[in-house]
Amino acid sequence: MQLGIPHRASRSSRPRLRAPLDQQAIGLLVVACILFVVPVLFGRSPYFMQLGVTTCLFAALAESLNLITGMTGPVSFAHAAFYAIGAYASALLALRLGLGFWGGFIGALVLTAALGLLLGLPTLRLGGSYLAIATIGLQVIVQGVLLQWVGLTNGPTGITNIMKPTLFGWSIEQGVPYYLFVAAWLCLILLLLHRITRSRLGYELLAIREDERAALAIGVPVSRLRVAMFTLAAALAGGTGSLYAHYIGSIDPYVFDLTLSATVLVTVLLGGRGSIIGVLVSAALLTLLPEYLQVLSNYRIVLYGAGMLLLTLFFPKGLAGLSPSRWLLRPATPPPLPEGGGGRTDA
Amino acid sequence: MEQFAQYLVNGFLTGGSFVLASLGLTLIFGVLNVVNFAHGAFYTLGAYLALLVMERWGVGFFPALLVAMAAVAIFGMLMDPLIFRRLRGRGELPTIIASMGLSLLMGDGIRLLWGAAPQYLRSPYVDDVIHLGPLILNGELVLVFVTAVVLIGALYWFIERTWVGLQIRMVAQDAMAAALMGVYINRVAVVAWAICGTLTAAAGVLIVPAFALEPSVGDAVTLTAFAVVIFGGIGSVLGTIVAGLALGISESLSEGYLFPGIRQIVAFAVLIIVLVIRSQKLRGR
Repeated sequence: MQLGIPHRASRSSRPRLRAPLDQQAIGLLVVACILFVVPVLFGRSPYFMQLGVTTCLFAALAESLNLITGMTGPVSFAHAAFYAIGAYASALLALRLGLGFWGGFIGALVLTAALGLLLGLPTLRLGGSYLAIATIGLQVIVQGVLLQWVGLTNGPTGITNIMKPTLFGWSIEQGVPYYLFVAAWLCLILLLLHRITRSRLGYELLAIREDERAALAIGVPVSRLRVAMFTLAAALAGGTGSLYAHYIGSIDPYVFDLTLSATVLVTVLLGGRGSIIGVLVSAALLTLLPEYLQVLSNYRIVLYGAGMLLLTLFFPKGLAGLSPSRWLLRPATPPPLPEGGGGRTDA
Repeated sequence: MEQFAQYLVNGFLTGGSFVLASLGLTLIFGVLNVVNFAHGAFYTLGAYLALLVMERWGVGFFPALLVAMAAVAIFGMLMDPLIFRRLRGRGELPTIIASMGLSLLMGDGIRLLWGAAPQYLRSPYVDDVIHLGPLILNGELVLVFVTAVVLIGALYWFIERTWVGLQIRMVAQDAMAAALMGVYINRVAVVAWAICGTLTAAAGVLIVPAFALEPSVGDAVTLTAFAVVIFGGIGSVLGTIVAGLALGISESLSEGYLFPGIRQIVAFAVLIIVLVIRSQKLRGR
């Protein structure tokens, strides 16, 4: 409450009863509509469908990082590593053990979640720096292991002939069906994130991100929630990796390098940490722009490095902070407290 | 037995190079609380600058070493006013992201300037072999070890015996209290970055001749240096020395008896184990 400015409630003593429109929910509905209209418009062109799948996969990966770096706070440099582990685990389980796509997919989720838990437990109690250091270690060695453990991963050649997923007996083929499949996965992640931001958990995560000590003081289980969110983010990245492996059909270690992890991080920073829609927009921008501007792809890494520096120095809120109307790119600021007790009548 | 002794000596010498490569990181982390992911890029930059000086002006290895050390020191001094000073007081997250961005920018900048193809930095001692009884020592690693000892001595003298060193120790203990006592934090920060640049460039120029020079040589150094720094205790020179030697020996033994290519996994495993065991102590910081 600022001093000197008359409080709005003093003009009419009645508090507003109608909850304000949930702008994020509306924005997400619009996004979902766009996602499912795209195949109607561009379904004929395999190129556009491929671009659509790539964008959706990248957006899913970025949103999973948004869950930890955006909403909770700690930085992970190993998102490409989790994506890689998901892809390899799924492909190996499906091919070597004959579990099929769904066995591989679930295996990828479980394995990446377990790894996230193992990495998060010792480091996240200590604060964000140690997670960042541990994740960069994981990123460096995962690629090393994928390249050198030839018996398991085929080394630099990678794994080929990964089968397409099946759903109720139908094989999901490249093109529109796979696009819809990936778009559904993205929508699932978006829904999950939206539900989190609108729940008690979402408030607690925001409290942790904004001030760890204050959050601890009001009884938020800080380290437990951070570990839980990191585990969930790792599992979502692993699941996305599994979808990637079964889409592309053959995987090799060179895709999953530190550059990919950095790209995902830049996407979250550019979108605005915690802003679901902002990160979606920046994921779409960062996948589609290099496609059309060749210059961008040659100087990609330098630009991402400079982007990380400049965004932290000058635009800590990213796209969501630039948007003057706060309409579409609104960051995940919670709406008024659900029960009447919060006392925020001025929202 | 002889083989074991050979692995032990190799590990000891490698450990010396780890210590040299990690000292700058522990200084910046301990004094300024900056988690510098661009540390390996400083190392790479030093090596490429030495190569440039040697090729362009045809000077010898040791003058090139001095030029590279001075140049990277100046480069490091710019880092504080340009980037990290602006992020002071905004928590750990912006620093982490900014240093990662700097690392990508420098690493890929080097690739664009010098090309991705491996190059060779020639040191006069790289092919020398010293026989010590039954043991064989690589001349380059001995040189690194001797330099490390000299530079650590100089660093110790500087930190413990000079006025500026006292100020560095004050800032490391409590930056706020130091500022209230009249220490210019910004000046101390610039000095710390200069020392970090000098030591890391020396490490790069001296260690790289044992391998090929590629823009990505620094990546593994960053990981190793973090493992050493966290193992030894952040900001502790003595801890860094012990941890560096221990990590060098354990890498050499595991590579000798298990399989080659396990080196980075060992560094990572050490990092995680230390984080688990020492978490109580680290949390106090």
